[in-house]
Amino acid sequence: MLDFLLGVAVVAAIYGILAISLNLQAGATGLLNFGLVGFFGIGAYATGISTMHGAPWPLGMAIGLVLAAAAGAAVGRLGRTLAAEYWAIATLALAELLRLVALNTDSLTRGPQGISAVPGFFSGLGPQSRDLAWLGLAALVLALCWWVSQRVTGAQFGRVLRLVREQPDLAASLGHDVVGAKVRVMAISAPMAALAGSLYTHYISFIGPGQLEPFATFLVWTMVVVGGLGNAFGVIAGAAIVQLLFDVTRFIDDVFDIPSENAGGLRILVVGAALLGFLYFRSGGLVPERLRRIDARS
Amino acid sequence: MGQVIVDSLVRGSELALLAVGLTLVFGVLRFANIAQVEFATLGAYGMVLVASVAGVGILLQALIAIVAVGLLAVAVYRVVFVRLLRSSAAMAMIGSLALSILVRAVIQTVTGPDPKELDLPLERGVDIGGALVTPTQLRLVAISAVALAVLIAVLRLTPLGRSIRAVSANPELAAAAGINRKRITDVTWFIAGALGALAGVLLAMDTQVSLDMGFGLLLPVFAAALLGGLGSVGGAVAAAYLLALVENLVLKINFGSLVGGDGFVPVDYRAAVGFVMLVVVLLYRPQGLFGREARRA
Repeated sequence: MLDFLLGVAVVAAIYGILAISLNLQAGATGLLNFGLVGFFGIGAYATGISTMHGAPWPLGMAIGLVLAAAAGAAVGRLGRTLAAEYWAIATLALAELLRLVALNTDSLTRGPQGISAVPGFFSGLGPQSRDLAWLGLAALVLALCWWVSQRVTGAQFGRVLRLVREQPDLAASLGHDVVGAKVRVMAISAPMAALAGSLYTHYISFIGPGQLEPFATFLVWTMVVVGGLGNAFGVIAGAAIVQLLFDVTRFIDDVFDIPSENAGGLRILVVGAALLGFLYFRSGGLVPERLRRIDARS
Repeated sequence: MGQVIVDSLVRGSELALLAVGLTLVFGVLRFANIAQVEFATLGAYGMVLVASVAGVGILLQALIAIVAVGLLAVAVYRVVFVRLLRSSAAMAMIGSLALSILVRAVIQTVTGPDPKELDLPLERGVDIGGALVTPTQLRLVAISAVALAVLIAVLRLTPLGRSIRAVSANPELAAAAGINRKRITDVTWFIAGALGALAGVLLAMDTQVSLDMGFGLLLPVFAAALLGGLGSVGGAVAAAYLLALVENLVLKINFGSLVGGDGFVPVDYRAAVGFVMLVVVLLYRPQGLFGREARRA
């Protein structure tokens, strides 16, 4: 039981990093990123591919971060011409493109079977202390990302981001560089998602195209909406709650008499119902964003 | 070459039926419904359900499923989207993603993840100008063409169609002119649901019934609707067939011969053709190939 909860906690902390990343984009800036898993995948595959060729783990992680920052900035630039809904579809398309490439370039990514035996950390420790160490590491990285996120949204730049979210035309007319703000927030937040991908790959020692399915993005969206779009503390709480919900329902077919492959649908159903329910009844989430009345000054 | 045209017509018909629904709803509500493609999945599973409970002919099965999904679409709009749209189009879009996942989750919970086959007689393909076509595929193309032609005729020639076009062009002005916007929106959702279900039923007859049959079409359908210019029905239809043709051509052309060798785009990348076209068009012509509305739609 304790082992199970420890495992859930580690994955929840890693997903918390993803939630912070998405919150910077969607919560603070109003960028509907439906392709977050793409940045996760960049980090994960950078780690997987470089360690497979014998590179030390910090190098793989660094490559992932740099690539994700560049990709994030490029995707942010797409916001130059695209209205929010179009941009959302474009991000989904790009993430799917990445998944197709991961699935079909066997020489680089080993195709559908994925890259296994990625070296993990703390391999000298026993199983339980290993997970404890992992929890410490993931929590530390999460705290770091939270701190960065607070710095970004608390500064004048954060006010500009919220203005871009609420009134993009007004922001532009006040002389703010709307596209530049989007590019910068993507370049800051995308590496967080890549970092989460890299950590996750080290933790479970595997990365495959199955992990880049759009459902992962959807899970993070649920966390962010349940926790409270725009509130960094809230989305971490949301990550913990949704991850626990998603993992506890793993045992749903022990309780109810349904075939296990049908129960997989029931688990997804619980997550989908949580997202739709919160959007419907409490769109601010558990911990809604607090806005000051006078918020934007140039 | 004949095979390319046949394959493109089949694929284009499926994409067109779904893209038209997407673009109609967008026109009236200014919101892109990700769950549109699930109407296809619902239509196909609806047909399986009807076949299992009622001993009616295949035509009636299809008709019941299509009408039921159309009514379901209206109900979903009234119950879910009216409220979400009051917050913002972005909230509604996230909600439609949630709904899309929910639909598949419910189906998987009830019937399991394995694909199903409709109980249809086996067919022999016929040879038309060197291309192999099954009678089902011919019917698929013909039925879609008729459905799309009827839709365009209704939109162009009847008072109802004029009202729908009026609401998409300018909702406030349409309301001021005495058009019942709520009723028009209901009708639009019914059409979107029914055409989506029709696409699902036809696809199920041609191939099989599976959980991802709708979601797998999401990006090509969005690509077609965006290429056509969101809100433009004629544009969506033209773009759907064009996209299908480009997909099949890209897979058939020997790009390696440019550098003196053999090199085909692997068939696994079929879906990528749509994505790439989508991203390129969004970059250089965000209003679509045939759309007039610029940038912010």
